[in-house]
Amino acid sequence: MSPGTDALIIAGKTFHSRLMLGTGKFRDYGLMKAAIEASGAQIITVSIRRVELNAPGHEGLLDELDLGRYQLLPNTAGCRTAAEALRVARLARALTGVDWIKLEVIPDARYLLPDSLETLRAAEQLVGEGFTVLPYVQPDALLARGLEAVGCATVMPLASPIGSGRGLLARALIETVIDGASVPVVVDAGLGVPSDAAQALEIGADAVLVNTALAEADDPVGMAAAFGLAVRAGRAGYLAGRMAVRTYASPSSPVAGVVRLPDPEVPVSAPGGG
Amino acid sequence: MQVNGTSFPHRPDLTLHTLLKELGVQPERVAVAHNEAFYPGAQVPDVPIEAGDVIEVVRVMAGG
Repeated sequence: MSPGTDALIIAGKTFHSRLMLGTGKFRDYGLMKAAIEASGAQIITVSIRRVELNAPGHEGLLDELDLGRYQLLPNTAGCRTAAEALRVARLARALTGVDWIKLEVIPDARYLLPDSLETLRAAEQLVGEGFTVLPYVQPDALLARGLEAVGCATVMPLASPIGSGRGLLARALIETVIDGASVPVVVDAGLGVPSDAAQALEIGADAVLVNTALAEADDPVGMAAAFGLAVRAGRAGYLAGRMAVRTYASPSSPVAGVVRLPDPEVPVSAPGGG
Repeated sequence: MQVNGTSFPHRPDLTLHTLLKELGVQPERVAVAHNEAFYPGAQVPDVPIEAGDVIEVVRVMAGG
């Protein structure tokens, strides 16, 4: 299968890009839009926040995005319990008209690690309410199977802490999530450079989600384009099937017929000759 | 009553519509939770607010 015909399907919707983008931390909306454009991403996350009661004037992020072109993915970032996440998910659906939700239940502010049990509880409830649930999770294969069983559309294991740029620290565990997954695995959080994204795709992840790696790059638009290429390269490499890893070297050139220095044991002129 | 986590002086004449108007909120850009009922801003019913009600008014922001 060539990458050109190799679509990502989530909850019955087809996407040609395997890169999802968060919209946070960009210096301004212009830069954000240019980065989204350069990345080729089709799935875009947003957050839900209280209106400031004393200063309700605000720019409309949704006015900036061409919602016909993108699948909006509201998140429950900031929620610490399942109950909070349920409330935010319901508000998000009322607000955007979109029933996709990136479920985040994160009680831990230091590493922003998700609470697995609360995430599973919230996911089951939200699926029952008709949401398309994409949960942000620890790279735990058993949890992932549990989330699939309650009807989640993907699982989104973390590569390393959100916004850390530390890359694919959880690689070995993510491989166990990918192995046997029946829904797309989207590696989310901590990817810092394009090669991190390529690696995630190479080991069989179906997609990645990045935000800070672009927003905090010197050139967010350039980095967005680089991530777009990396995701395509990683996926193409995965589909092409990697070589086996060996402990020892294996020469690439023929071992026979190598030119050697003259052997002093071998006479230069044949005995009895000229 | 509470609005966005802050206590708000209740009045018997207060409805969801009058509250949004007093807050200066453009309804089409927000969603509202009235206790356990959730509404797109433009479809908020003009119902009375009781003294113990909990109201959330939210909007979309950038985020990852």
